[in-house]
Amino acid sequence: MTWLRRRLLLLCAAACLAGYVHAYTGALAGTPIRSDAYSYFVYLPSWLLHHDATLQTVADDCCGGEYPAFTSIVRWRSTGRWLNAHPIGVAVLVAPFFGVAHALTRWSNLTPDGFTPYYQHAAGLAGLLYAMLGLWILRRLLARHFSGPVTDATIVALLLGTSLFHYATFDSMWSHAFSFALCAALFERCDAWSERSGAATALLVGVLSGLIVLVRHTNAIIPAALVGALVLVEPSFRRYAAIAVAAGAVTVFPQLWVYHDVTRHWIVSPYAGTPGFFWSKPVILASLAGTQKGLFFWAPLLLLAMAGLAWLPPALRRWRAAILAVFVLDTYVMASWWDWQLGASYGHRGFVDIYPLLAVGLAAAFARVAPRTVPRRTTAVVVVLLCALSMFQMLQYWHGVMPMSDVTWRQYKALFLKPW
Amino acid sequence: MVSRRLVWTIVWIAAAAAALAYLHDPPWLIDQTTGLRGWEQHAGEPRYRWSGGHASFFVRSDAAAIDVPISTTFDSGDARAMLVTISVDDEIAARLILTDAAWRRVRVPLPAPAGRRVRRIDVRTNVTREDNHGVRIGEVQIVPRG
Repeated sequence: MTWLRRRLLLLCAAACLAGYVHAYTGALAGTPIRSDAYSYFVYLPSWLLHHDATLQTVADDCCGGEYPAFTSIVRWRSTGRWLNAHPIGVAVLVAPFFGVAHALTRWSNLTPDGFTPYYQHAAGLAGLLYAMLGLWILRRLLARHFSGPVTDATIVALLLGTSLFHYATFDSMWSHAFSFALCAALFERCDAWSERSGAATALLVGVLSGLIVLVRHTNAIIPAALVGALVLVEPSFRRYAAIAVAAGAVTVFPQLWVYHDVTRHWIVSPYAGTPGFFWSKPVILASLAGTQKGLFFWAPLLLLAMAGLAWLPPALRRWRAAILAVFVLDTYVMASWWDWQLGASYGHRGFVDIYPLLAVGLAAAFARVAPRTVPRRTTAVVVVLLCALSMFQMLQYWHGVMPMSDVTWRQYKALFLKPW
Repeated sequence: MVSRRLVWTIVWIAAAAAALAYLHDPPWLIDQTTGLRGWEQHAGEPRYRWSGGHASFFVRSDAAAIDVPISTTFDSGDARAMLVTISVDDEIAARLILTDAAWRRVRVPLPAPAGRRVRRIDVRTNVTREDNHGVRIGEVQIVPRG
């Protein structure tokens, strides 16, 4: 058992790599840079290969000068420049991997256009590695408050019992693996703040907060809640809060520059061509429990995580209000979006970003049942079954058995445990 | 302990060097294509694949030249002339302007072989038809050397 636990993250990475290889060698997933992932990625070939901040040269090279509709890259009416609905954060995080892919592409004489196989899999594997980095950081955080077995059980259950595995493999170039890692890192650094912490940690908190916003703008609620809570619960942080805020602002600035360059406005709605938010008609119940994409319907394990928030150990209770605030606001924002299912996805993908916050609840629930034999064994059996169900349903999704969206109860019943 | 670490370092460096040596001229490269859709065939026409705005494929480097059959569509919806640029390993080798839908056979000379089994051919168009269709590329004929 000790041998397994010492190599837990390596085994998690190996399992994800096996899933990734299965998805791409089995022709289940197309290429890693597809659909939304294309728009997250397109900055890199444009900036680094064509030295063009306008994205025009990639459109010229790939598509006769115009981006296809699926990219959500549209011409801003007043300037005629390309506005990408997907922000620059994922591209920033993938940039080192892109550099390696470009060198290999040149070495093998493949087409150095940013989209040939090395670029594709460098980007796909970048998402996988960020997901693993997120798990590693989360494990550090959990290990401060829980026993080793509880910490490791939480890591494995989160990976296999939710859509995290899917977003680390099949859809690894979507933003969620990156947001997951950044959320874990920010939470861990905030939680680690002590009297002895100083400007360097505050700087890191600011940069991580800025990166979270760069990857997905609506996730600004995560640093707002966590750093806000840090100001309240750690008086020693207040001296350094300005450094964190300044670092966050500097990190976010390139995105504002991109918006200004395209639209002549610093703040814009990059989804201007869509129906947008329906703030007075949030689809909350279906977002949480519906068959289409309900968070708890597709990852019932997270009900345990929510319950566990009531049993947090004393040192983690200071984060409870922030976690609940993020969960409630995130749910409201996503449920108000015109496409509240967020398109094709396994489970409700929008929540993957905040799994690190829910993980402490899951660990607390495990810790509560751990000392008593019968509840511990019962919980273990239930969790293993839920993980098996989640993985099976994920494979149904990969193989096209489970629809990519709009699943009805009738469909779900008909497809339940149906092999491919 | 130090010697074990040294052994592992040497193993890793050797593995990386071997991987790089293999990837310089891998045998699977000849089958790689990008920006090309699936094969199609219609009555009275050669078998072809649609390119996007940029397509690439590989040919044997021991050939003297290749013949590339090319055409595109011209209809009332889009009858813009199309500039087609063909390059060999990033050097422009042929250019032509398509002004009608007739098939053309473009001869692209290849330089003498230089250390690799294959050469990369890139086909770019300055405009595309609806849904990012560039040119129809027929089966490439190899012109042997000598």
